[in-house]
Amino acid sequence: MATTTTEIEADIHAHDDHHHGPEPGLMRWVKTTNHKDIGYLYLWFAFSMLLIGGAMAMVIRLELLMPGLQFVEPQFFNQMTTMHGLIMVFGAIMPAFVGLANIMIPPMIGGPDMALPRMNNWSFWILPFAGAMLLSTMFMEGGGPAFGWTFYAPLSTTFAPDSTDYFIFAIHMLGFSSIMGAINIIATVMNLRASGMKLMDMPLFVWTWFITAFLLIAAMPVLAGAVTMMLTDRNFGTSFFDAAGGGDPVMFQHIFWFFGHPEVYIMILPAFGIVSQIIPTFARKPLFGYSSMVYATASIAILSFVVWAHHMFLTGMPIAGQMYFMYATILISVPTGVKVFNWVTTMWKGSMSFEIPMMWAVAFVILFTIGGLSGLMLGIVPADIQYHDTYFVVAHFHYVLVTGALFSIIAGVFYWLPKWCGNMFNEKLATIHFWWAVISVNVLFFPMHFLGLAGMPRRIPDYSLQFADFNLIASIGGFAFGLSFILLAYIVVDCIRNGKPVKEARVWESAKGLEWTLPTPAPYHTFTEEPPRELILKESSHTAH
Amino acid sequence: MNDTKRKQRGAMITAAIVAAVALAIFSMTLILSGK
Repeated sequence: MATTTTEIEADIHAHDDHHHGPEPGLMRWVKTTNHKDIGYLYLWFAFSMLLIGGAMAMVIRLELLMPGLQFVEPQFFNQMTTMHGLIMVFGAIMPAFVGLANIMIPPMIGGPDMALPRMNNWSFWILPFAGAMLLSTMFMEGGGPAFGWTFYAPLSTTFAPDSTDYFIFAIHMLGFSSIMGAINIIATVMNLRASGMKLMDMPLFVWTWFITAFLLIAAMPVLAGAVTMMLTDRNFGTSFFDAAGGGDPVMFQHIFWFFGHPEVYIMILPAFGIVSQIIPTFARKPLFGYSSMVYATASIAILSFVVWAHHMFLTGMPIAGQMYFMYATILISVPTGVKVFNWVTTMWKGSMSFEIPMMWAVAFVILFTIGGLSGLMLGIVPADIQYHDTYFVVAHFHYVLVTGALFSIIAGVFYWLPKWCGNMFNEKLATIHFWWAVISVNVLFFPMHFLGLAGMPRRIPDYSLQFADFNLIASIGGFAFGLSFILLAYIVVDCIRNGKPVKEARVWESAKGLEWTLPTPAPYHTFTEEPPRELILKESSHTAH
Repeated sequence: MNDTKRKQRGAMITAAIVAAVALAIFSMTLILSGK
């Protein structure tokens, strides 16, 4: 195709622009369209929300330290459990993964930036306002949302406080931000990938995020639909979820979980990707079963849309429905098992070393598997009838989301942080932090299995005397785990400001991938010229080291 | 059209299609729930 002189000149100027650094001052962060800047903003926002949501968890564990009502009113306790869940899901875990995607996907695919940089800026800057609006509901008359993070109707419609309309708007904005982020990731992977990189050459982190983006596109509009119907039921006289007007409150649960179950995988598929990058590096072997990892991820994503009613076995459902949702749910263990098998097999007879990211990745594999196995138990209808709404469920999803999703985020940050800032973190402190967090998180969540099996219901501020000992243990673990994040913040800030400089492009000697061919610290603009296919093949994580 | 512009246009088309799908799913949720 003919290229005009003007176009060539425009290209040259564009190339010159690549050498410009960031704008100085605060406006750099407000106006930035740079994928790394936006990624860092996402990560700091997620960490702030993690601390706020964590503080709420501390209130919950303080109240549950002993039987009886000690510190907070039951209504406030309900607000704490609700806001803790919402903030951790929509404010901490999801933005952290989007942040990692923003920083790492362009260098991993040999691209210059995200495909739609201005929209990327907008995606991020919606978040602080949505988060602030969500938090502001707690200071309104009648208090904030207290109906659980699942906001089932009619608790969230007929019986909810006035502040619920602000909650609805906040969820709309958070969803809008997620959808724009997903659009950007899909467009980046499809259109900005180096021409020498085929789909099956892509690193696993890119693959898992690419599939997650499709999950977001399919699931978030359903959530938007659910909260829109809540809004009209509350304010415009509709009766989507009001039985008195011909509606159906159980339909809310179907719609919510049609979003909610894929949401679970939105929060875990990128974690699979991060761990699949880290384990081959420190096992010094190519990833075992790369293509099966890709197909397993896609299988999990598809299955995630056909299992939603396993959250609703107690709503009353035909036996055929129960059987279908039980078997479909248990089927997910097959592709998930493929993944765990592949990680273990990658480590098998590898030249293993246990640097900090690898320790987090191994902890992820073990502890996420515990969460996965308790999930299988919950998928079995007759067992679920016993476990439903007990602390067993709380134990299950915290193993999946904390020791699964959050641990993978921490693993990813430690893995890529030296590349981002050009400094190595304090490995001694990071080791202390790892063991502190891993031990305390198990002290926190493991006793919850026993509490749930003994029948302690979730979302309550008080409990019978027989649950006292395990609650005390869980609370002590909770306070210790909460404190570990102060140490994590210190390690990260200390690394950025005073860390030992790293000169090598390949920070970890056996790391493979295009991102490790860039200088350390990573330049402000990523690949200004496409990497050749030979380099892509050489850096492929699933070819021999 | 040079390579950069071709990629930019491709990204815009991809984004438009994906956004349309998201809007369609949102609309379908409301329509099917109102049945």
